[in-house]
Amino acid sequence: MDSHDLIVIGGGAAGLGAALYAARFRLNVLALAKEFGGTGNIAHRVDNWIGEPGISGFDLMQKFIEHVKQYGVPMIQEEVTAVSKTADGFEVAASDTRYSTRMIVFSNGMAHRKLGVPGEEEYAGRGVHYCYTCDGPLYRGKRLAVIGGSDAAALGTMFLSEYATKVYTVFRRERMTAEPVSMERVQKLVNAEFVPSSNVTEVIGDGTKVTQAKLDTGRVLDIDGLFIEIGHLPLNQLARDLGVETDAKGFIKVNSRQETNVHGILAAGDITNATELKQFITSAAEGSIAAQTAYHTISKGR
Amino acid sequence: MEHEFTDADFHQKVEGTQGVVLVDFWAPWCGPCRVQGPIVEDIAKEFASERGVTIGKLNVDENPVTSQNFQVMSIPTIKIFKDGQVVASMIGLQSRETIVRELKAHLT
Repeated sequence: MDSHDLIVIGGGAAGLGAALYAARFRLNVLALAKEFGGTGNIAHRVDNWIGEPGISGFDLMQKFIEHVKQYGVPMIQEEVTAVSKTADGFEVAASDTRYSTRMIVFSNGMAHRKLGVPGEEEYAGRGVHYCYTCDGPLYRGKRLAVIGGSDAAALGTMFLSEYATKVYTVFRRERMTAEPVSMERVQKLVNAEFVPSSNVTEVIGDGTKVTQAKLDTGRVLDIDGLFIEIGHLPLNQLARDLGVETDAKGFIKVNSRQETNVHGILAAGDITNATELKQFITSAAEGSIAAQTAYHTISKGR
Repeated sequence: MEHEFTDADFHQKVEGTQGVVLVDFWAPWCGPCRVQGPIVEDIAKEFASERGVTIGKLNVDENPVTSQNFQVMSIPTIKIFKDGQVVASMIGLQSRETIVRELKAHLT
């Protein structure tokens, strides 16, 4: 079994940032990810990665991947299923391979939060969607709802309004919490309607596709699809199984060196409690800090 | 070699074909589809010499009729046809292993 200094789990901005810096520190690093590019791949238009105004998330992540490849980092597309402690490090189990390593960076990000209402599971992929850039354009000329009041919901509303005849934005507060720049744009849309102080209680369909969404205000929206943007949950299970501490919301607790409470385990990006600003730039920064910590830890131990 | 199906030839080349046909429904604007694409292309190469297997893709933007007929509302979607009938449907990005496993399961 190949032994590594560092295994980076996750292929988004944090993981790729960690892999790049680890390679620059000449660590024997391996990157494992279910999908290289990660959540970044589905970002429609990234306007806050400094130096690349308006680039698509996919194109930006391709640049990250190419850059890491130039350093010769092995990048294996495999989902990690378990991580266990060994005498001198960790063993990482993926689909059908096992790897050993001295240190780990968890940078496997977050998963979409679900509504948890009747009809949601039944119509998943058939009217209930979690990725507007993936599935939105298939609803040309249809009526849609975006569920959520965050910046992501505002961006989703903007994106979908280009395809749909009507977009309802449903959120539980009185106002959306989107960034001012997004709100200015979304308020100008002629085919978008805000539905404040409302929660979806049921997704209704005809057996093959969605037809309506029922709200707790009694209102029923006639729609062909809904896009759920109510936040994300950190994918912390692999880390928790090793005794890694998380905060009340499930984010892995890290210090300013990206260290967790377990020696040898670092975490970076959306999965950590380092910052509430979950962005490409903060993720990549956390990844690079984690790599530096790995370098110092491993150098000391040699 | 990977095929490119269209609304015009789907009936003949997929629904009217004996054997197994794998179709990757995709669009250029979909990030995960662009990750899925090379994986499917790679599988197409692997199965190139295998008889009774066709592997290809369909651009949902350019071929709305087929996409509607098969109710493709989320992409990437991979469908496997056997003797013209849908025998497997996978929504969302799939790993190489998963696709090959599904494909082999229908190659009997």
